[in-house]
Amino acid sequence: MKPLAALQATLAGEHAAVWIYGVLGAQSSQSRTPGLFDELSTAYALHRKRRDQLEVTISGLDAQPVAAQVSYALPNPARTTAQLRAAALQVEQRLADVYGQQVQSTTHAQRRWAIAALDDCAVRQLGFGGSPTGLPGMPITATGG
Amino acid sequence: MPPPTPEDPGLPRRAVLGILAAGAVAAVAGGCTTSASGHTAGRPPAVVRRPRGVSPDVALAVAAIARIGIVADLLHRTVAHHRGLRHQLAGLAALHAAHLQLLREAVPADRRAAARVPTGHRGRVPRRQQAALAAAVQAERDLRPQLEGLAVRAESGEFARLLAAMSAAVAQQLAAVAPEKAVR
Repeated sequence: MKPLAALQATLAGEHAAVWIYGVLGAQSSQSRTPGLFDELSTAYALHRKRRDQLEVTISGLDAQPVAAQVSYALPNPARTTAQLRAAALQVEQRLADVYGQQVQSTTHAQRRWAIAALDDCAVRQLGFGGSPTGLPGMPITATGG
Repeated sequence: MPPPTPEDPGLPRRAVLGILAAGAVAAVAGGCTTSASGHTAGRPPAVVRRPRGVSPDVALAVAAIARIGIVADLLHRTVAHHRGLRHQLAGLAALHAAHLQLLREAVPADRRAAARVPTGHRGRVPRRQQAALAAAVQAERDLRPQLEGLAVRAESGEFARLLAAMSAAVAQQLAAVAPEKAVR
């Protein structure tokens, strides 16, 4: 994948993340589940910031940043606390793969930035009930020798 | 409760083995390197010293083996001195073993002699258990920017992704072992 295409794919992923986290945050209760509410709010703010950074980066390359869709499919109904956590986990897992692709497709500062974002996605997964994996952000194409 | 060990200790081994093999073949065949952006570049500047005909990413793999190996060795000795830390550090130890195996098998046979864990870098294990844990955690924290630096230098995008994934895996384990120190 060309660097610009990877950046656009990452931006598309961040657009989706911002939209989904917005819904998840609205569905969570600050009084009943303050910890989850804080985690979702923090994630929303972070992904919004990343989305904005990507738009600036892509514009700086004289390209038109990919636009957000009107809406996105939620990973699940997002009604219960468990569903909210699972949905957020899925967002972070998908984004880890997207950032892994950006690491692969870019160089220098863009790669370094993607590495930091990949780290963050990997750690944030744990807060939403994920488990450590051997290689976050790597496609699982084959196992064994 | 001990931190969980990696979910997929098998790792995408076959895919990874091809990454460095392809790079090595390209270097031997053409004396050229391919950057992550897909552009073919000429030979690297003279200041980058590496054996003729060896992929620069193989040299990075050898460096990664050395750096991970030093930390893995420290963990091993820490657990030997402080059995109470065995469960807490089990996930990191298993992770490093899996990563080392992956990298060693990816290095071409004629370069494996160089892909050994260097001696002479053995930090002392503190006597107090909490201090020993803190030293191990610090070593892991120091390893992450080293792996990330290698990832930035990698010419193969796939190999860069692998090294970045290894760093992210360490970050996950650190978050489980020492949550307050996981954030940069």
